[in-house]
Amino acid sequence: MPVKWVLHWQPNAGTTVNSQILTEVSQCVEGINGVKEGRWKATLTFYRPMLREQANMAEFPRDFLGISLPEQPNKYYFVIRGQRLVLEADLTIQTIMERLQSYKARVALNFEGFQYQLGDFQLRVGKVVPNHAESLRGILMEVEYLPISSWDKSHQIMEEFFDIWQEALSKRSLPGHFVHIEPSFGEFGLSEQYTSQHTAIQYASIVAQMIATAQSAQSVRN
Amino acid sequence: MLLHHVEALEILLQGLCGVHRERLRIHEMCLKSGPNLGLVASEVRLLCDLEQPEPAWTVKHVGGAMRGAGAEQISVLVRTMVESKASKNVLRVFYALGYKLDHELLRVGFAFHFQRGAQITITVSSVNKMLKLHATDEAVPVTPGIQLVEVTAPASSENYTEVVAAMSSFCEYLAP
Repeated sequence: MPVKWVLHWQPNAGTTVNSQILTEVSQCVEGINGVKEGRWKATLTFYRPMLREQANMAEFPRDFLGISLPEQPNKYYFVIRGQRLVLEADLTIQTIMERLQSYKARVALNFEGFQYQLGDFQLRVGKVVPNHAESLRGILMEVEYLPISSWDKSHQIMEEFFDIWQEALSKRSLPGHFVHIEPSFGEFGLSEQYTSQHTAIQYASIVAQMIATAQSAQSVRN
Repeated sequence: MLLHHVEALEILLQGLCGVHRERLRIHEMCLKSGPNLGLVASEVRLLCDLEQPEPAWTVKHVGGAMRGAGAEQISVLVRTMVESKASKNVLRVFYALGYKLDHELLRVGFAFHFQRGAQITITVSSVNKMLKLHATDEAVPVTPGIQLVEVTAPASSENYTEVVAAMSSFCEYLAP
């Protein structure tokens, strides 16, 4: 399947993300002739272990995530980033986890917005919001290059597009910029042929980065 | 059932089911939650189909049997079951979540999948244990000379009475 970079918005120090930035980003996509197509939505769920004694929390993964992606409506993905594990399963794996009652789904984040076509690229711009709240926690963008499915072969063209995009966005003088984290897919046992498991890992990495940024900002305020 | 009856059963099933048999070679791992995990202990099964070109994994959770007055009137065992296909490192994922291998076995035999009032699967297999961890090439029968015959059919809460009827009816052909 086509290669995809997943980018997240990194606010400048001392600033926070807001819906005006999201509007500007969307307008920028349209400004470079992106054609709006339709809506998209992905979901990420944090799972927490149910323990009889809280003292042994460290034995269990604190970064166990479940992810659903719009391009794979019949699949569900688990990522345990700290142990470099990714799993693709059917949707029924969620029912199995509920029946086991060893882990409970806690906070869920929704990634949702609009999709745009721009030549051989498919772009998605989305807000990051908690499942039962309206507060904007972040902005995410997917850049998919349809002709190439090899991660290695796609690097140059994706870098070039990213540079063009950053330059277009810089003209709007927004308080932040998009960042691309490149996970080591090989450490997860994946090849350089792109799959939705690669996407799941990128989402997990971004959420980890967002949490780290929020915690760092919190400690500065304290 | 005894080994020397298996060939006769296979011929009978071929006639009844109207489909070709499929070879069965499934490595089944039963995992249980570690001591501190979950308010109650839990169990999950990982099945690896070794007959496929690439080993194909399934996660299976089997719940308790249906009980009560309704259950006593049914001639078959009704249990909740949920399955999910999974990618190849599913065992590592469950280990990372705190599950431990309780036991493993290798089922070798054949299966028929057919439609007869319900989607029925009948498997005839020997259940084998491994003398070394995951050593599927060195498995030995748990009960030499005896094979297990299992008849299963998926059902929902809306249609399980029809499925039970279809299974009971089919099983009458297998009665000795």
